[in-house]
Amino acid sequence: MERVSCVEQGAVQLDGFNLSILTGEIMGLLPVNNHGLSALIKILQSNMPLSRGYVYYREKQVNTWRHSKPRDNRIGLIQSEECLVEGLTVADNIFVLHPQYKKWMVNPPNMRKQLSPFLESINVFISADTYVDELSVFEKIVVDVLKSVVAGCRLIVLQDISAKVGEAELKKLHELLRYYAKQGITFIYIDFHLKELWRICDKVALMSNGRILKVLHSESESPNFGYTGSYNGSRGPSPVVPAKGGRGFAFEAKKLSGEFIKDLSFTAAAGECVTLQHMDIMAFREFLSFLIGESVPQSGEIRIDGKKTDCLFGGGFAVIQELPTETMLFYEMSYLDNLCFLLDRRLPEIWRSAAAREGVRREYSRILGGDVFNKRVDALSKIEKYELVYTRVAIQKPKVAFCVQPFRRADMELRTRILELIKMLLDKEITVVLLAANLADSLSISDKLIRIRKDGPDEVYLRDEFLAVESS
Amino acid sequence: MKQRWKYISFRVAVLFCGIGALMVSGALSLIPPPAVLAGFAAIAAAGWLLVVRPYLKTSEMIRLFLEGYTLSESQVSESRPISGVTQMLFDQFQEFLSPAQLFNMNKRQAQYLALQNQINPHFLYNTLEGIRSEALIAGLNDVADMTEALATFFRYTITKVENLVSVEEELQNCETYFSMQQYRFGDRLELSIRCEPKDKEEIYRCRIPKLTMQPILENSIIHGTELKVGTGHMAIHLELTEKRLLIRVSDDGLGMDEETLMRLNEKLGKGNFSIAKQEREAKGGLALANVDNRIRLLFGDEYGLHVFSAPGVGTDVEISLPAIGSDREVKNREVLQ
Repeated sequence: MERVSCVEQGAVQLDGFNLSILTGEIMGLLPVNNHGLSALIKILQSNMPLSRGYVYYREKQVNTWRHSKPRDNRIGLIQSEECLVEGLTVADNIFVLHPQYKKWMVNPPNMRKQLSPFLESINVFISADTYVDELSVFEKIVVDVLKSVVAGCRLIVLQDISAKVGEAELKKLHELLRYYAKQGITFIYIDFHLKELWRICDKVALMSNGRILKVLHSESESPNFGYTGSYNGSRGPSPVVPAKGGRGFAFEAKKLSGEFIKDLSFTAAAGECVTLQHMDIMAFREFLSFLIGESVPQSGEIRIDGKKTDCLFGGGFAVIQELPTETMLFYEMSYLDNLCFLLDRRLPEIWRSAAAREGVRREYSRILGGDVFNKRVDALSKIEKYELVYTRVAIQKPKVAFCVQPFRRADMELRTRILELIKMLLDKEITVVLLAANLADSLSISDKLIRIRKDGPDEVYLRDEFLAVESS
Repeated sequence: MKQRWKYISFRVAVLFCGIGALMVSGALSLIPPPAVLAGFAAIAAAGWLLVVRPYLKTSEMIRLFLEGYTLSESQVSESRPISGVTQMLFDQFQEFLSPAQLFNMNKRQAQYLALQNQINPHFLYNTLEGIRSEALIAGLNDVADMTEALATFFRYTITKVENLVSVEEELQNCETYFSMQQYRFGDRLELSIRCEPKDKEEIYRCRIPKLTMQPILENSIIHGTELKVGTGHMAIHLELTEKRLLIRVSDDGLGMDEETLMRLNEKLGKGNFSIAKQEREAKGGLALANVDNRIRLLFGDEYGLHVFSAPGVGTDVEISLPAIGSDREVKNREVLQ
């Protein structure tokens, strides 16, 4: 891409974007902020009109500022969202949904035969007839990569994959990418962690405000962004943990078992931050469904503040969902109403008394700033939306707050702010449980790490232990 | 509104509205027919005065410009552009081709020619060779080597007047220049030249504009590593694809902030006349703009320079060129005449 600039809805998305990637290279892309990222993907995939510059794909000019011809460039895009069609088999997704598939009749045995060399070459054993719904997230990503390879994509963009799969699966995925890179397929690997990117990429491009600032060629080049992406403030000593078996734990899971979780046991004290890492994201969904009483565990129990819990309301806990700005805000309601949502459990008069709400506004305008209360919720910046969600939980003052993949799709600036917001919850003596597939970011604020193994006992690491490992 | 009224497109739109209003009024008998006729006559007169005459005047101005006349500021201001964009185009032309600007360019060219005439290459080389001999006799080997490097550098920059050279020749010149700089900086500067061994022969044969890499290397030393504490590592990395030659001149110096980088990259790739503007020299980037302009003029605006930098990490200047092995493959060959 040569000096590419583009404007979308009056806003400059890319501004003199310049990036060359050679065949078979795995190019890391580290967005300091999210600005221009979606425009970049649109340009790569479908030749979005440019206001300046040229785009070349496989040495052919495919898009210029003079003339943009909208068409599919055959560039694979694998985001953390599942792009496969559920209800169809692996083979159907790979072959039948292929744009070049022109056959009138679907021939499953033939498709199985065609798929097997691909699967054998990468040492992955997935049945071609398995329904996509039955696959793990890692397997879905592998199928997605295969789909792009079979479709003839010579450039595949992977975005924020590390947040979705566990450590062991990520290693397997890296092996797979290296294998295809050797075959001449080029990858753009978008991630918000420089350390993650250096594990797989040959080069890393720093992107900020729709521009490439610098292409780093070795790990020794460490840029100073101003944003660290990790919590640098004083975390203070870990909270005092009550005697085991006592009623003093804020959260306790005892021998919890289900379809994905086996004998999960852990405790968390008040004001403690625990990171729960599982290799399969489905385990978190199951854990949350036990927590809110949506399903019943095969065995074991959950106790919050010593009491058994099995319902969402009045359970003394809060759940901050994955991508909370999309799922936890009410855009038709005002900022103050959003902030006070569910506060009636703690202050029953909150919706009857305008004075109580005004009190909340006065108190929190000192922290959140007075301006945000006058804005429409959809006009808030992403950071302001996250502040609203986390402050709402802080006002409710639950015993335990569960944060599901809190750093997913967050740029570096936002990550630093999320860490500060988690610290705010901890300072209020709220126990925070981070449910994360990937450990980057989470560990900088955690007191304890629990790695749940599918086949074997869970591993528990205290802060000193995992910090020592990280620094070594 | 006052600005818009200047544009012929706006005047035409207003006149059409007037014609429409008159037709509707006439059809609905809101005004008597003589008044309608008088209205049409008034619009026709206004059309002649406000549209046709200014249009003819502007056409005449453009014709004069195309015939090679330089236009004064008053002539340009008398013209009535068709729309806002045309106005911007005129402004741009005026900036580029104003007599002052052209004079400035001519003056710089004259200065360059005067300098070139003053330097008699043979006289210069003989003198340098004399200094080298004296230095060798006196046992001053370093002085002799420096003199030899200087003579080689001048021979390349002054004598080889053709526009395209091979990558190998250009790299040799970079090494000569670097060896001269090493007398100043000693071990504080390091240069490495890297490329894929299998592509080396082909890369070294590629033709590129003369003095493409050396000015960038010079820039990197002066702006990047001169102020750096410790050793400055410079690297020239060459990559060849099927159609392109990518040269990256890197340093691990101070780097620059995002805003400076943005301004520098904006200067590149726009074919501006910054070279002719003395006042811009102080702001730097002149050498880069010069190399970028030459590449774009020779090969088209798909090629050129781009700067990448991060504070504390260093700066890379990426030169994108077509991979050509012969001068006949140059897109704008007439520029080489």
